Amino acid sequence: MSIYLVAAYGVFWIFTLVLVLSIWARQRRIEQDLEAFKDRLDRSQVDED
Amino acid sequence: MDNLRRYWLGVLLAAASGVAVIVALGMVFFYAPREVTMGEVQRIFYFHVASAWIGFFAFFVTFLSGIGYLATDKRRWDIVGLSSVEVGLTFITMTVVTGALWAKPVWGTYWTWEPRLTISAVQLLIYVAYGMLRASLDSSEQKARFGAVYGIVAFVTVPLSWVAIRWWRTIHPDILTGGEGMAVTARMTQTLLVTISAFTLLYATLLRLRVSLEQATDELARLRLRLERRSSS
Repeated sequence: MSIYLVAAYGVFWIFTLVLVLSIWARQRRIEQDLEAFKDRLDRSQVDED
Repeated sequence: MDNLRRYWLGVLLAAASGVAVIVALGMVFFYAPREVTMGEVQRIFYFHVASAWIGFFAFFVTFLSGIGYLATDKRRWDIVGLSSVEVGLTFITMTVVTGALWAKPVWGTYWTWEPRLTISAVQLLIYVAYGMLRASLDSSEQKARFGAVYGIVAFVTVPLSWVAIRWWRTIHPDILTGGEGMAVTARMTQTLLVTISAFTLLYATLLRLRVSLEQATDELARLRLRLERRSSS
């Protein structure tokens, strides 16, 4: 099998994986920030009460 | 309930696109015949053409989203437009790289400045600039308005790329007519259509993921604002 053919199909998998992992990593970071902000909001609510 | 339904729809879409890509791969390697002139290396074409098609489609979605945003001022159009550029850029980069890998054994060089390739390179840079210029703006309204106008204007590169191999003298083959000595058979066309369908499902899955990331970013910005207001009052 041609090395160029293997490389081309490798490129497809690598690019797709990089995009999925980059979206997943950003989503995870945002979800962690969201949790932290929700906790801070809840705590500030309790303090006000 | 609505979230649960959305979650399972996402899982179903991801599973369907995964299965479709595996079926397409199977057809590329075991169903499509070996092309007589180029040999095994011609099999690059199925994923190369499908990724170009999806890249163009993604930029078309950004173009429509731009019109949608300018007409309604609704943030959801901006989210779709931005997300589609990111997914489209991935597919167009794939197209350029797989095209270069096909060109080396067939043309004897990875790159030549012929019309289609030159337009593809310019298109890639234009959409990379979309993200960079957008990020340099301050307010979300400015970003959305800029993104909408830029997405509409930048779309001109798509029809230009399409007609490049028809208007100008070029060595780039035309897959639809089987020009430049490429013998396209019925099995090859079927394989290409299945690959394009699989990539369309993959695009929908990736776009959905990217849109939900942007929605989460908005939610975070809203919470941050609430917290700032509460601490200042």
